[in-house]
Amino acid sequence: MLLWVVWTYSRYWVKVTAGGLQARFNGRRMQLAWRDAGVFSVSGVLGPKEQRTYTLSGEQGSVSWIQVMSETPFGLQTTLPFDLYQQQSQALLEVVAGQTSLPLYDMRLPADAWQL
Amino acid sequence: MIVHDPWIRLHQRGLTFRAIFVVLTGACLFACMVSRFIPGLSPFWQTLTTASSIFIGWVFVLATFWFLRARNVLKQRRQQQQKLLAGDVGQLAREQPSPNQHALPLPTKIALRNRISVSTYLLYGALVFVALLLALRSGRSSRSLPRLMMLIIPLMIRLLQPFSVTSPFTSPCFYGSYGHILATG
Repeated sequence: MLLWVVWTYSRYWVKVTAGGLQARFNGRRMQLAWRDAGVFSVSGVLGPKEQRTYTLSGEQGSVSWIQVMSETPFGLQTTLPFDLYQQQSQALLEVVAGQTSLPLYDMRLPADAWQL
Repeated sequence: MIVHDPWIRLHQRGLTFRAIFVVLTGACLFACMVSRFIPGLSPFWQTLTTASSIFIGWVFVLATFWFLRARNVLKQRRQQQQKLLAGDVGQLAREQPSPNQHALPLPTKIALRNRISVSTYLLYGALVFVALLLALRSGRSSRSLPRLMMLIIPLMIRLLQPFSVTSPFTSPCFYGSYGHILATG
């Protein structure tokens, strides 16, 4: 049971299709059609070792995915060579922008926001 | 309009988890402190509560800090969201992705995986299980049990890490603002 939970929560992916986006984020599977998208935003913390969370949301739901910006010994790692991963991640943003024509909103917080 | 914000939902769940953790460690600390004043307590329990209260006290302080920090971030995020809903264009990203529907062949799947493999979790689980067994077997020894507890608790905390992407151990903010150590769902 515990292993199943751990396995589920350690899988993150985003799939871009002709109809929209599908993703597994924090143990949850999400999907959204291009025509239902209303807001495109990026969250996370501003900094050199940032990890961005992109969200495409609308009335029908939302899809979030993580973009790892640097290779660190902790946390999540890419299944592709890092350069190729970065290229594909950037291309994904372009596809989203192209399919939805939505501007990207920056909702990242500065690192000091995490201090009390 | 943002109807479902997974980031907020993740952090709300994290905040609830942190609140429960603070309450539990606070209750444990209180119980440890009160039990020291109970007359007739066996030496074993005296030793156990003394050792435990130091450790739990430390965990309590960390947990409280962890909770307050998460609450602060969630509050700021909600403010941001309200601004966005009010049409604040000041939040537009400086670097906009150039629209290109054909930038990727369709369908394409981009995956990430946890650096800690399932086999490592199996190892952790086995270690915790063995430690618990040893603790039960040596329960009559007033010295070994607190030591074993000190071994088990960090392992259990380590096991809980993957349940949150923004766990203080793995989150970018941890490594950023604190030299950046201990999310959601």
